[in-house]
Order: sequence, then structure tokens, then C-alpha cells
Amino acid sequence: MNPEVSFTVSEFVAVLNQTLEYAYPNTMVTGELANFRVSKGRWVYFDLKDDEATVRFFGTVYQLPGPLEDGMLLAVSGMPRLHPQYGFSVNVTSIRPVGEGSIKKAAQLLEAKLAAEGLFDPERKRALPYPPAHIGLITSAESAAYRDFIKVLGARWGGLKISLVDVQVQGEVAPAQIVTAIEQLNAAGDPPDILVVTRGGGSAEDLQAFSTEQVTRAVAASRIPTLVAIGHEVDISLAELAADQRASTPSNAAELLVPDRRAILTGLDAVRQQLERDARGALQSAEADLKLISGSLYDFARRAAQNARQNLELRARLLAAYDPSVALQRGYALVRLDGSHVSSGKQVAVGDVLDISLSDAHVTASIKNVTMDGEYGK
Amino acid sequence: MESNDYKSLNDRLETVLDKLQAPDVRVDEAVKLYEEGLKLVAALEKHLQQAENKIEKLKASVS
Repeated sequence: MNPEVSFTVSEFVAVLNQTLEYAYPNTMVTGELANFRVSKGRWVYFDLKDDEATVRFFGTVYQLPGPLEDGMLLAVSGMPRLHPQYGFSVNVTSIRPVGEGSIKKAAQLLEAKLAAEGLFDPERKRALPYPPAHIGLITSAESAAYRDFIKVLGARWGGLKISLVDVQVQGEVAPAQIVTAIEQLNAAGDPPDILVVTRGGGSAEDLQAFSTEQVTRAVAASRIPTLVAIGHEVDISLAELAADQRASTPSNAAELLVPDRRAILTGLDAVRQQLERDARGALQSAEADLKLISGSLYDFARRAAQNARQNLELRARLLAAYDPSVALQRGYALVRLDGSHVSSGKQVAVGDVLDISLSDAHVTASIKNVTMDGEYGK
Repeated sequence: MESNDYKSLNDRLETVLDKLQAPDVRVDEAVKLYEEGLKLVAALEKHLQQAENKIEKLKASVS
């Protein structure tokens, strides 16, 4: 019984590897992780097993989705290969936790690792500009999340500039696309003042991209403040933990970003009404004061006028007492010579013609005699 | 010519009355002073009447 083909050992290994390469250029194996170990900080060795079988895998730390732990369910892609010295293993190209439990476990391990590095520290959180003028939006342009976000944003506030980077939000390429989008917006010539990363809800597997190490690190490293809103109920993605602020849904993100124009207008209107009431009140009280003052002013002015009048009447009466006509009625006369009053005999001579005023007449008389004999003819 | 405001006219009237009351006032001066005094009283009366009218008018315009 001759074998059909016969090889040396080396030939057998080479032919077998060639065959495997043809048959399974890239294959995926899903199983439970066992005997996981890292060598020299670079090489990774582990087994995947199920109830009946165990397969060895070999890869590098760069292919790990995050920290792993024995017992987790992994879907590992790679090329099966027989090593000339170390025997059979699958050379890993990618590793992805599968199933609710493993995804959760992987996320927990990664969370612990990144938390230890300080990525989620509250001190790192920056305040978001409120409201922002320019939003960098990273989401799927086809998604309901995008429509909800834009709709709520538009209803609340206007005049915002939005730079959308359309990315896949699930599947294998999602993490790399999201990371590129974050870096691209950070490097933009006209950078937004806030980055919003959002998607709607989904299964743990759908949302996995937002808990990957690369996306979480990119969010934490963003120089532009970040708001991450992954719509799901229970668990918070690691990207949200690393963000400056998280929101529960895309709509909630829009609500947190900008104030509600209507609420502000209502508030302004209340302030306006209050101002109007205040101004009206001040005006009324000023008017009342003025009326009072003007009344007092009137009283003062009238009193001053009355005083002046009394004063004047007093003087007029005093003046009347010196009315010269009263003296004339009593028998005195005013004697003038050439318009000048005569009060002394020295002012006149015999022959002078005098004007004499009496109480009821003027008479003209000529002097016949002048005798200087002192006061009242003594 | 002296100033014609109420205060000047009133001061002048005061002076006129003082002079009239002086014991040594001459009769011809007394007559002149008396005449001036009458004019001053008339002028002051006119001023006062105008002031009173103005006060009432202003009051009517603000109330």
C-alpha cells in the first residue's frame, strides 16, 4: 500500500500551508477565550474553545480591541497556519467580542483601563460654548439620529453653522471613520467650536464602535469640546464617558446645545412687561410729586406777591401822608419866584412878582415891602 | 436812568419816603419827592399786577 505522495517534513509543512492558504485565505472562528497571555508586551497567544475542541491563535497586541479576559466569547479572523517548529495556530487579523455578555465584559475591562489612565476624570471636562456658533457633527447622514438632531436644533435656535462628517456608525469600519472624522474636524482651517458625535439606539453590538478604545481615545484627545450622544437606555458608551458632556439621545443633544428661542423670547417679554410697569410707576409717582411741588410753588409765589402788595400798600399810605395838597387845604401856600420856591425874605425884593399856589387856585402878586423879622413875624 | 425792576423801584421808594420824613426837608424838594413817590407806587403796582397775572397763568398751564 504505497502512499500517493511522499514528502519530507519541511515539504509537508509548506504544502499544507499552501493548501490552507487556498482553502481558508481568511476565516473567522468564534469561541470562548482561554489561556490568554501577552509575551514581551507585544505577542499575544490564546486559545478559542468550545465544548469539544480547542484551537490556538497567535497575534500582536495591536490587533486587540481592548483588554481581554478568559471566558469571553470572541469572533477572531485570521489565517490558519502550521508553523515549522511550534505547530498549528491561526494568525490573527482581527478580534471582536461577540454576544451581549462578552461585549459588556470587554467594555468593562477597557473602561477600567482607560479610567485608570484618567480619560474619564471629571477635571478633564470642559464647558461647552453656549450656544455654539459652529457645530462639527459626526453621524450617519442617512440616520434618524441626524434628522432628529437637526430638527430639534432648528426648532430651538437658528443661524448655526453645521459641518457634517458622514460616517458609518456601526460595523467594522465605523471606529476608524469616526476617529478620522474627529481628527479631520480638529485640523480644519475653520474648526467648529463643538464636536457632536451621535447615533440612535441599537443593540450592544450595534453600538460597539462607541466603546472601542480608538474612538474613546480620539474623543478624549479632541482639542474641540465634545458632546457624545448615543441613544440607548441602560449602558453608557465609553466615548460618552470620555466626552466633555453626554446626552441621552440625538434630540437631547440638540436640547443641551442651544437654548430654546421661544423660552428666551417669553422670558424677554416678561422682562419687557416688568420694565414697562416699572417705568410707568416711576413716571406716575414723578408726576404726582411734580403736581405737589408745582402746587407748593404756586402757593409760595402767591404768598410772595401778597406780601409785596401789602408792603406796597403800606408805603403808598405813608406817602399819602406827605401829600402837599393836604397842607394847602389847611391854609399853607406855596410861594415861587421864577419857578423857584421861596422860603426866605432874602430871596425876594420889592417889585418882584410871585406865583402863589393855594389849595384851589394860583394867584400872582407883587411885593410891596420886605421886613426881615425872623420866624412867624416875631 | 436807573434800573426798572421791582427791587430797584422799591428801594427807590424807600429812599423817597426816608427823605420825605427827614425834619429838614425843603418844601419844593418834598413836592418833587412826593410826585416821584406817586410814580414809583404806580410803577410798582403795575409790576405786581403783572406778576400776579403771570402766577395765575402759569398755574393754569400746568394743572
